[in-house]
Amino acid sequence: MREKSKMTTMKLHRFNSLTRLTLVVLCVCATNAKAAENKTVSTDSKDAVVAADSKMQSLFGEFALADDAATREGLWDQLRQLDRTNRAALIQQLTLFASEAQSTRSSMVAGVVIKELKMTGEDVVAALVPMMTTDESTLQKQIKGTLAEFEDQSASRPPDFSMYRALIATEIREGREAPVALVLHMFDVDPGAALIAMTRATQMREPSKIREILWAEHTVSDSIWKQTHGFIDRDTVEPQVSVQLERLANHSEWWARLYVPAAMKRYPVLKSVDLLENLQGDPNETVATAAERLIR
Amino acid sequence: MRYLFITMIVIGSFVFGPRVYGGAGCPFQCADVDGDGSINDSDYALFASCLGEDPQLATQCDCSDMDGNGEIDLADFALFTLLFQNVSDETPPGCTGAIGSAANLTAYRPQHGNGYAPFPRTAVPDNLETDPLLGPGIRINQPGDDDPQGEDDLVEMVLDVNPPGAALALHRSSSALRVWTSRTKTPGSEISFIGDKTAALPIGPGDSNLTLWVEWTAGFGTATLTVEPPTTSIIKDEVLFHAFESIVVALGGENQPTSVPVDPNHGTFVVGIAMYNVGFDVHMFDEDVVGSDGSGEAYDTVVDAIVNREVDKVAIFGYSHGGGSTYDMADRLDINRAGIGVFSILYTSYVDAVGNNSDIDTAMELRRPPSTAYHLNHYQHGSFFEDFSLDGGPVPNSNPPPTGLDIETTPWGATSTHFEVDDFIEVRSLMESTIENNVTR
Repeated sequence: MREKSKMTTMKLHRFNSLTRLTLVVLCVCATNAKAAENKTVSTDSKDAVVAADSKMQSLFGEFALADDAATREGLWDQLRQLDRTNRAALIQQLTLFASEAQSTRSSMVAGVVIKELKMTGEDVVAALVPMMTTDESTLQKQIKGTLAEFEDQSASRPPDFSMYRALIATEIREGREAPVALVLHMFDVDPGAALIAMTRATQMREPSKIREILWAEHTVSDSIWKQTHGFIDRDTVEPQVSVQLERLANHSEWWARLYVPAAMKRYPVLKSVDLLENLQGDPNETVATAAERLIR
Repeated sequence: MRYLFITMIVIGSFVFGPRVYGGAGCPFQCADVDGDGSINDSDYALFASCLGEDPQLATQCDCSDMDGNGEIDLADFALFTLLFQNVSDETPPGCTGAIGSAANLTAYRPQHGNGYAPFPRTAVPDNLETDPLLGPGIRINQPGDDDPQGEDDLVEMVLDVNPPGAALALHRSSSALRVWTSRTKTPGSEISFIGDKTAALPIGPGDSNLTLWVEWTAGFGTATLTVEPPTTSIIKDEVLFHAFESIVVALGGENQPTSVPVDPNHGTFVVGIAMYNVGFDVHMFDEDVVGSDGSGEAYDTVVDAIVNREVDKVAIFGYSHGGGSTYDMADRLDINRAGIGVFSILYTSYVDAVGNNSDIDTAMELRRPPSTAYHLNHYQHGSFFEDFSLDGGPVPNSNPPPTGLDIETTPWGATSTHFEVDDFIEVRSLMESTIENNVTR
C-alpha cells in the first residue's frame, strides 16, 4: 500500500514538474463530465491536459464588465447553455477565470454563476478535485477558496469533510488511490478533522486500530484546546502529545503520518525537528515533502 | 538710531545700575529672552526694556543678564547682537556669544514587518509631533515579544542637525523609552541614557542627520524625547510619543490586495491610511488572510498585540467579503477570550458586508459581530444584472440606529452598486469619525 501510494505520488510529482511553467491546468474535461455524473474522481490526472477555454473566458469577462441589464441578460443565457452542455467544464473554467481576476467584480463571477445555477457541492467538488494537482499557486488558492464554501467551517464549527470522505471512500472501494491533492487539502484545512475523515474513508475496520488514531487525535486536539483557552501555557507541549505524535509518525498508513507535519504546520508550537527529520525520509513522498517543507 | 539709544542706556546703566548677579534663574538659551525657542524682535523688545534694570526685576531681565555680571549692559547687548536670529547652545549666565546648533526631530508612523508596506513611509508633520493624539504612536515592545514578521515595533526617528557633526544629546521624560541606532536592536546599537539624558549622540563630523529607532518598553502613556546640547537643557526640538492601547484592522473586499500607493477605489484601505495618519495602529489585510473560522494572519496579529503588547482594545472593519471576515475574526476572538486575555472589541464596521465562508460566498452578512461595543453598518441593495445581487443588509443594533444606513435612501447613494459603495466620501467620513469617537489610540 505504501509503495503504491509512493509511486502514485511520484508520478504526480513528475507530472507537476512537467507542467510547472505552463498556464494550462490539469483536468480531465471529458472524464470530468463523467466524474460529475458518477461522483468519482480520477487519481491520476495525466490522462489529459485542458487549457483555459478562450471563448468561455471571454464570455465571463464580458459578463463581468457588462454595464447594462440587456447585455448581461444575453450573456447569462449563454452561460445557462454552457451549464446544460457540461457543468463540470463550466465550473472549471469559472475557477480558472476567478484565479486570474483582477477586480472584485471579476472575482465574484464564479460565485454568482455557481449560486444562480444552483450548482451543488457535489458538482463543484467533483469538478475541482482533479484540478488540485496544479502547481499554479493562484489556481490552487482559488480552488481551495471555492471548496471552502462547502466545508461549512466557522470559528465555532469544524469543517465538514463528508463530501470528500464519500468521494475518497468510493475511490478506495473501487481499488484506486485516494486523490493525494484532496487529502493534502483536508489536512491543510484541519489536520484533526482530516485524520478522522480518512480513518472512515479508508474503511478501517479493526476497532483497536481505529481507537489508536482516535486517541492520538483526541490527545493532540485536547491539548491545543487547553492552550487556546488558557488552561496551559501557549508554549507548552504536554508530554502525552509528543508521545502520540511519535506514534502517528510511525503509523503504517501514510495519511496518518501526514497528520504529523500537518499538525505542526497548523500549530507551530508542536514542531519537533527530530520527528520532521525522520519523516523527511518517509517512503511516501507526500509525507516526506510535507515534512521537508516545514523543516526548511 | 536705535543702537545709539541702546548704547546710551547701556552706558547709563553701567554707571548707575545695581550690581546683583543675574542670569542664573533663566532656563532659556542665551538671548531667547521670552523662551519661545527663537531669538527675534520680541526678544529684543524685552531685552531693551530690561537694559539698565535690576536682573532680579523680572524673568526677562534675569535672562537679559547673559554674562551674569549683575548688570544688563553693553556686554549683554554685544552678546545679543551676535545671537540675534541665530541659536545658542548656552544658557545665562554662561553666554559667550558662540553660535549654537539647530536640530530637528522627525518621527515616522509605525512599521509593518520589514518596512512600512502596506503603508507608505510617513513622517509625522512638525505641527503634530507633540500632539498627544495625532502625534507619533508607538507599540509597547515588552521583553519576549517576538513579532510574527520580525521586529517592527520600534519607531523610526530622524535627527537633522546644522551645522553637520553638531554635538547633541537626547533627553527622555520616561524610562519606558529606549533608543537604538539599528531597527532590529542589534547588540551594541543601543544609545545609553544616564538618568534620562544621553551623552553626545554618534553624529559623524560631516553628518547632517542620524537615524534613530525608538522603543517603548512597558506601560501605557505618553512620553517625550527632546534633543538638546549635551551640557545644557536647551530644547532644540521635541517629539511626544503615545503608546498604543488599541489595534485597528482593515479588511478589503475580494480581490482588493493592499498596495503602495493605495488604490483610491479601495475605500477600506483609504480609511485605513487616514486613521494611520492620525496616530492609530492600523493593520491592513487582504480579506483572504482570514479563514472562514476567523483564523489566519490578521487574527494572529491581534492576538499577539493583546498577549505581548498590552493592547486591550480592538477595532475591525471591512468591505464586502472583508465585512464577512470582520464577523469571522470577531467571532473567533470572542470564542477564544479565555486564552487570549482581557480585551474589548470597541468598534466594528461593515460596508455592504458579504459572508466570507469562501471566495464564492455571495450571501449577505447580516450578523452583528459578537461582543462589539459599537457597530457601524452601510449597505445598498444589489440586483442581479447590475452588481450580481451582491449586497449587505440591515444588521441588528447597528449604527446609525437601528440597523445601519441603507445608502440608497440618501441623495448621494441612491444609485449605488456593490462595487462602488466603499468609495463614497460620505461612507468613509462616517467610518473615520466613528473610529475617532469610539476607539482610544
